[in-house]
Amino acid sequence: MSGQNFRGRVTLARPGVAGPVFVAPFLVLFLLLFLTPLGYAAYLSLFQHHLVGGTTFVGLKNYVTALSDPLLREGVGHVALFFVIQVPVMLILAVLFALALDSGLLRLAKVVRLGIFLPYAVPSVVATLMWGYLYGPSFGPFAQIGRDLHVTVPDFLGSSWMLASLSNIVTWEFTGYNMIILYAALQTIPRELYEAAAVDGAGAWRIARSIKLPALRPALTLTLLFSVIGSFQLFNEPALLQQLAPNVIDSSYTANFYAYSLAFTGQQVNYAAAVSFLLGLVIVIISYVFLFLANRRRTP
Amino acid sequence: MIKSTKNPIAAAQFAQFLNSDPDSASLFASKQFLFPSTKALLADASFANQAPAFYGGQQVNKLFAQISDTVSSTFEWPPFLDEFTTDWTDTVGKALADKTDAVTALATLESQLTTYAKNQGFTVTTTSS
Repeated sequence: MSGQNFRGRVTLARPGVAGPVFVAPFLVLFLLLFLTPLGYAAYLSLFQHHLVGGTTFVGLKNYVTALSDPLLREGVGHVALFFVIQVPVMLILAVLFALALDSGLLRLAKVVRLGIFLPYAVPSVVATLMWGYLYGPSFGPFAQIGRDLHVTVPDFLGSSWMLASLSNIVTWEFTGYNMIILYAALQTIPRELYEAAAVDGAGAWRIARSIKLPALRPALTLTLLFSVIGSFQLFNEPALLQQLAPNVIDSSYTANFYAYSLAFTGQQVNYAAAVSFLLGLVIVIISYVFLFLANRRRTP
Repeated sequence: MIKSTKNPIAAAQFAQFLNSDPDSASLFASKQFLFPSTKALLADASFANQAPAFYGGQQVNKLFAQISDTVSSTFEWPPFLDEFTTDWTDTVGKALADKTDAVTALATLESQLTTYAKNQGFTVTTTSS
């Protein structure tokens, strides 16, 4: 008894020393790779570099300029519209696929699951190049088939279709990823609930509506949060499609792309840092609003 | 020639040969579709009378040769060419591709470049023409 007590005391004393040691590698890397760049960007955003006259401290002037920058507003507008259209489509598809897979009524469920998830394993650069080829107005298969059948195919890379075409690429890429998260959430529902519901006379649709969908809410909130961040940081897809449609996608088509153009073509690193911080702020606010709404709905 | 070139004189001579030799210049213009680097080539009938299918069979080279004479030979490159090309693509390039008003686009380009230059500490003056 006393031996056990002694041993217990030793193991109690150890975490005090071991804890920080174990956490140290993470903390060091977190500090070096995460907080330092953030701090450096915040520092940069308070200065302005001139080709003539060098660098001067300007305080919050970059932020004030950014707030009234029509190009930045245009970029944020594009991604906001993209978010409103693309995210509901993607999440509804993901929920439907997850429910279908979870119902156990699907044949070849594993093949289907892998098939829907596979696009996520394709790098977004490759996916965009592939879709860019498919969309092509003169070389793309859709346009060619349309020409052979004498059907007018919309100009997927034209200014009125571009946002929809981008949404399609992102939906193709990320539906599977969101489906896996939702599917995993469905798997954690205790099977007894289904049995009890079946005893009460509930059918498959009723079970889906009354048990599965409410149980999906936390996972849906999570996927929605990822989607907010993903949408507002849209970059790869427009940056690559710009090569195919330079007259539609300008250097400020999305907010992130604008920050990139500012830093790497205009050499306005300081202003780009301010724009990035504002974009980050927008993402934080929208994420917080969604979390707040999701939590408030769950409590009553 | 850039400063770090090892043999600047030889490099300059080579660049001059590459762009002035009649055969080489004509290859650049007909295979790479670069703008002719010699006046001789611009005036050459075999070049001027070309009617590329890309332009719907128009003799565009003749027109290009005429326009070439109107280009000021004293112009200078801006110190921020990157910014200029990006802004050009976003404004005038877009207008040309969409067949909208190129003059309005030029005005937008001018105001964007002026803003940029002023932000970078340059003094912007307009020359009356």
